Amino acid sequence: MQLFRFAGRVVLRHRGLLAIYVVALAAFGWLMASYVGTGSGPYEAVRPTVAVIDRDGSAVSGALAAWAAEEGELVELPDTTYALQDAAAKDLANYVLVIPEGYGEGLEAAARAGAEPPALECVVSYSDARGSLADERVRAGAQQLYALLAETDLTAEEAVGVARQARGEAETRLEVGVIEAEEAGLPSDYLVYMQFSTYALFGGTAILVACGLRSLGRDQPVTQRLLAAPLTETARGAQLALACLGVGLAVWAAVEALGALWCAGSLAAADARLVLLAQAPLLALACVGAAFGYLLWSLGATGDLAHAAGNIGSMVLTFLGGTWVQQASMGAAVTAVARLTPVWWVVHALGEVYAATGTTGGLVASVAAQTGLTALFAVALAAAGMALGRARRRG
Amino acid sequence: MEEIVSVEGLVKRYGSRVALDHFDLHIGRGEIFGLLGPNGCGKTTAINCVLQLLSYDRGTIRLFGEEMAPDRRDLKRRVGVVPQQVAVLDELTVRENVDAFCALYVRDRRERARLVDEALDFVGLSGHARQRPRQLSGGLARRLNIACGIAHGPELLFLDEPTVAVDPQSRGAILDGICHLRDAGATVVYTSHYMEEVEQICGRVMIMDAGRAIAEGTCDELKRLVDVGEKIVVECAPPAPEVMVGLEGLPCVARAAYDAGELKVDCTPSAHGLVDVLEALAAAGVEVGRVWSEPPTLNDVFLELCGRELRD
Repeated sequence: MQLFRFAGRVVLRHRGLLAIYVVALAAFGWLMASYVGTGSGPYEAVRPTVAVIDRDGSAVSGALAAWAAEEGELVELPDTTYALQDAAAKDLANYVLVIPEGYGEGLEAAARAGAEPPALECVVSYSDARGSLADERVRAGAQQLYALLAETDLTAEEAVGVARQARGEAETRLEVGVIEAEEAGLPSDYLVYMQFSTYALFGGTAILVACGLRSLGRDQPVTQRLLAAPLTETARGAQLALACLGVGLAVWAAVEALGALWCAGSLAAADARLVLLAQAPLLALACVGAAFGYLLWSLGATGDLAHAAGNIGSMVLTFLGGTWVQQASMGAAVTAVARLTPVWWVVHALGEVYAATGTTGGLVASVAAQTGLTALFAVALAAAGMALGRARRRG
Repeated sequence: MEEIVSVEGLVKRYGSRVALDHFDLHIGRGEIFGLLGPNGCGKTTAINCVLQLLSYDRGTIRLFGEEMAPDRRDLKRRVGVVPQQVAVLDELTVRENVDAFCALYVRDRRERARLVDEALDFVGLSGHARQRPRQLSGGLARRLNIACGIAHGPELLFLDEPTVAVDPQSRGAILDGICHLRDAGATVVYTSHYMEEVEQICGRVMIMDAGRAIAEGTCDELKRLVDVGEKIVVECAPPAPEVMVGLEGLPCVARAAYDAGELKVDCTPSAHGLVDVLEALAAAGVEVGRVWSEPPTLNDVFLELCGRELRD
């Protein structure tokens, strides 16, 4: 096994690749997992920041200003062109309502005559939809006043009073809370971490194998030494293939160890058997990465080509697999293609383990089947690598 | 003398091109055997066939008296190879490189550590053991290349142009080292384009061309084989054309030419024509400056046998 150790030693010297494709990519998965979090917490309604410039001073404008203020947190803005432009540019308020002078009288006159109501000026934040929601509610209030003035003989002040009373009676406060779902088999942050670790397991392993073992490639100067050494062709090939597999195992172990470390808090309460079961498809995926790296290596891929193929391949596979977009959200055509890729089966298996509440025979069988399917990709790629490598040697 | 390498009727074809054409090679124990030839003449192909790195169409190869085959690990264990290119791994240190390649032959770790130390001492790289190959100069890298090939103590060593792009000091150290290996009992097959090196260290030499051996023997034997004799160089003013004709008419002169202030006279084999040439010049009234005479070199033999025209 001297060549196996030799190759392993050579790969481990590529510390830059290890740092980027194992540690950094795993850290990215952890960041995503931290961002998503465990998914539970108290419900809190969002409230926009609102600024009201009332140039009218009528009962109608006062009512609109009050309703706008009720929709969010009031922000003071001076009534100058510069201040309004600044607020719009810097997004100082989610919603800025400007009630022009004469708006109250104009609304009443328009309502009596059945004409178009005067326009309200507003600036709605570009950053989110909270400002738009507040605007909708203020305009609804204005329409309510317009309707009252159009359909009754009430004065503007009386109409405002009626509207206020009606809003007070109609307002229904809903108590909103989070319904705790049945406890999942795996913590959601760990699930997210594992889904994102597929990039490192496939692409990282492939690149490490293809680049790490490149100096032992067939077209490299050391080839003559290796071929002249007292090793049979079978032993030489087997030891190099084992070295590729060893790289896959090492990447898998490192990525999962980092995941266990970073998600230790949430994993503490998880069922250890389910956590172990989830490792099977991930290990198979690392083997697929190793086989892909072996294929690239057999073809004599340059470092640049290996990086490109590993990264582009990982991006495509993780997208199709459902790391970036949930599998359930994909269209039928995408799903049909995705089923032909290994990451789809890995993420699917992880989803089953996540949804499970205990280790059942059916779950184990299903995960084993999906792990086997994933492993088949590894076998196919390794076989292609051997065949192409042999064809190149003969060529 | 015990034959260490015995190649008979070796034929190797690449499609329609014949790389080795009934090639024979016989090397005895303890020899440093020089394998010379122009680029593409089949030297490396011959070595690769002997090492079983290439299959061949016909012929027999015996090493240490036994038939060589790709699965003869016992024979491969006794052979070392130093490729033309520096074949080491940049990922490993100097010591790790030697150890890694030695490990392909020697499993015992302690034994290997001793052999690696000896090899590093031998090539003078002990002080660079922790450096990476890319930190070494060209000469040191060449010495590392040799250390990787000799660490396991091969009885038969193939050195393929080991002194290419090496400074004179390193070249001297490498050549001394090869002689030491021979003195320690190793048999060395040495290929090079530097004729003076081959003349310096090789006991016997084979000149190859077009996949065949065209001459073989000691350097003196080879020099006697060809129509090459002493070379006389005379610093003088350009002689008149009739003087040149007169010189070429001398029995001891094969050809004469004047170039860049020097009159160059090639003598016929076994002739010492210095006195005759100087007398002829004096009779023609040519004033001479410095005069020197060189015996024929292996380079002259090589050019005579392989031709002076450029090869592809």
